[in-house]
Amino acid sequence: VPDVPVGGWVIVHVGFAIQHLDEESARQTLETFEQLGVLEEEFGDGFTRAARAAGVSAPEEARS
Amino acid sequence: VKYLEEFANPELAGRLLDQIRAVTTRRWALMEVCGGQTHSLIRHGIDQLLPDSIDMIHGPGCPVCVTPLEVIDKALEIAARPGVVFCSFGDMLRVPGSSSDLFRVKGAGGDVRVVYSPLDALRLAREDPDREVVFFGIGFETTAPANAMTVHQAKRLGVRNFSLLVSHVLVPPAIAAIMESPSCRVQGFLAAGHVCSVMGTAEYPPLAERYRVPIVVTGFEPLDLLEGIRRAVLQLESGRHEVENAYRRVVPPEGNPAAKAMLEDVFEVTDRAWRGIGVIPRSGWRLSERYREFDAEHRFDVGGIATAESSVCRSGEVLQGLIKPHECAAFGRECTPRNPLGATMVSSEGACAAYYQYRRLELVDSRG
Repeated sequence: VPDVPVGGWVIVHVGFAIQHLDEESARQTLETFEQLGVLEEEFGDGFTRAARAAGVSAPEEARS
Repeated sequence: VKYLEEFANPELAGRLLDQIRAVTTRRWALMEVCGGQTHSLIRHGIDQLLPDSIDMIHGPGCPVCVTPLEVIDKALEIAARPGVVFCSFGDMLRVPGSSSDLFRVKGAGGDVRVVYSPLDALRLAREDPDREVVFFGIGFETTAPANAMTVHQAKRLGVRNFSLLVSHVLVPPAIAAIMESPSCRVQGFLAAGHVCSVMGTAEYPPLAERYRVPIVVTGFEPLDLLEGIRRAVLQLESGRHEVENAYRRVVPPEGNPAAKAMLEDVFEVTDRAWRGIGVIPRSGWRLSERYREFDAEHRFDVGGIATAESSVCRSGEVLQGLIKPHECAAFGRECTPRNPLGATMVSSEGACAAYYQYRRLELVDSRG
């Protein structure tokens, strides 16, 4: 794997580095996960809100 | 280690699960191709956290499981010969051949050694030029570059007493074979992240198009798997069938060009028999003409082997995703990792071994 900076991370498999781990991309992915659901919390999903208002459990609450 | 714990964060996992529950309106069957992903799913209980309407079907991406019986028998025959040092990754040693396994060959006096890299085997060959050192080169596109590089080095260094018993297999033809099967239930795929880290993603859009299935490249940590499932379900719910890369930190679209060039030089595509599945056209790699002298099948005369599978073991059906491991009557009884009837019970990537390791108490108890 060429062009790995000193201090960078690589995926090693059976004694060979097969790919560079792109930290910037890892950070972005985690950030996307952080933001998941935030929009929903802010604006709410109409069906879920309506279900709640009607006292019916929304699909995602019926998880047990 | 950086970016490992972060991808197992329970709070973020909860959010992804909420999203999956929120978008799922009907039953979907997804296949994770890679055995490493199967283990991660079962180990973290992800299959149990998902809505009941999402069925995870475990795919054939376990290299030792699909290595054909005939090749295992050839390995056993070569390993038993005097003057041979037979090197393999550890998980191959208990894989049952027709009548024995590498452990038993070692017990009977064969020089079988566990190595962690093919380079270890090459080093043994250089240290002991009077003995024939054979490395058992199996695996998917992830492992093939290491073997290619090692054979390339052997040729460059003129190491005459080193050879490779090759049985490499390829993911895209396996996806095609699964989709062509009349009993196929799979509606979407999680593609194996580390295979794609080498090969890139260009091979997958034609498959997604031809079979109208979403294919999402994913990693191995809980959040990677959940994100892969979320994206596949989103596509299915909206009637799309595209290739998405949910493992960008390790998978550039072009893969690893240096590794691909090495593979191109050392190997050529060939038809390959998959244990439990059968022959899949153009689904494997063998050494190319230029490297034929390093081919153990060429060096040792091992033709005419008659093979015999266990009559009880249903690992072929497990590998094709037709049954779950515990639906086999032998699971956890006659068949355990210490005494496996089939290769899927042996490997750290086999579905039967995953169910045995993480689920056996509930599964064997509930079956009574």
